Amino acid sequence: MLDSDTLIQHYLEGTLSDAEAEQLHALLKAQPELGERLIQHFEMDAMLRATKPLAANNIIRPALLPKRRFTFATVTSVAALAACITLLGTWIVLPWLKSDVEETTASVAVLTRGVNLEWESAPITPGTPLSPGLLKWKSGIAQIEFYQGARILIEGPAELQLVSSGEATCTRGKLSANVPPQAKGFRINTPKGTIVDLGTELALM
Amino acid sequence: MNLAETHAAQVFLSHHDFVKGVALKYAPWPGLMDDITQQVFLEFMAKESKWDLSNDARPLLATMTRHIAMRLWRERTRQQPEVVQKLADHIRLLAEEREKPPRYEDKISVLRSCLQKLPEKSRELVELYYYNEIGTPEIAEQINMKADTVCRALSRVREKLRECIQQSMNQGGHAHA
Repeated sequence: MLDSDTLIQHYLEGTLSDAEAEQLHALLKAQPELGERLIQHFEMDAMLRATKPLAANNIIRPALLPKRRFTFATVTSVAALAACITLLGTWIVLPWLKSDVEETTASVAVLTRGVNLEWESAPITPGTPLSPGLLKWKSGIAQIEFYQGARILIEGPAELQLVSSGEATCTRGKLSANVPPQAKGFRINTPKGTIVDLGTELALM
Repeated sequence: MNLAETHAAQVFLSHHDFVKGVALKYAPWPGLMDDITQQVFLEFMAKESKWDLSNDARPLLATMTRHIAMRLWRERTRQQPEVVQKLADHIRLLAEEREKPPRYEDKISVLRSCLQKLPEKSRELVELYYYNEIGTPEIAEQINMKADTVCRALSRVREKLRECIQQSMNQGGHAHA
């Protein structure tokens, strides 16, 4: 019977035998705290691999068929050169750039699709990240994907307050939501109460 | 490569570590993170003309990475024995239950300074396993130790580094491994 550190190491190395996999699985079920430890080791393992000094024969090996005009390695060097040139211009507008960065780091969702949207506020185009705040539109359908993973469709007229990557308040509109397992716990607040998803689809009218 | 492609590549590179962090969350399988990151890059560049890159690209990259991670996860784990698949799925659920992706991009830069503070033997172990890519059985043979002992030693090194990173990020100052 191997200890948990050895089992975790074998998992990270990809050398777990079937018996060891079964043993580790049993341990994870019996000791929930071991799961957190394993994930931490996994993250640290990945970060350590990333600190490996680059050598000519060690630059990223594509796992998939990259029949493209460029490779990641080529682009890296070209983009790095372009970045140096870009930096010369960037420092001039740094105050404005900084405020943009601060604003967009607070984004919690993205407007992924819009159909015949007629906005009451400033128009938002699909692909735009959304920070916490109020969205209002007179008509049309908006599909919004939250950072946590939940995806909602709302038909206007609608008012939707984005609270966080896992919560929103809908005071008007027809809403349906698809909440995948990783977004379990997604909350929609309405005038009639709060709905917390437990891993299904839900709809509000 | 034209200007638009260069710009798109720059945008991706500036969020490279962010993409890795999301990949870790949705596909915690050895070696898969780099494959996912590669694929996200290829698909991001293939459709670069469709993206509005004047705004924060992270939500878009997060969505792309999640979809690709889940696809590659299915492909990779399908090839494994059933008992390993069950274990892998359990671990994936554990990773997904964490509220946010790991702050990979913040931690990776701190890690480099923490590595400098490791005792010499620990640093040698990191070099052998992570940089020279020698497996634990071979390391054990090389340094005349049991393989299990090497596994536990690596585990301790990772824990020390994690503590060092945590300390450094909490204090914003020097930390000791």
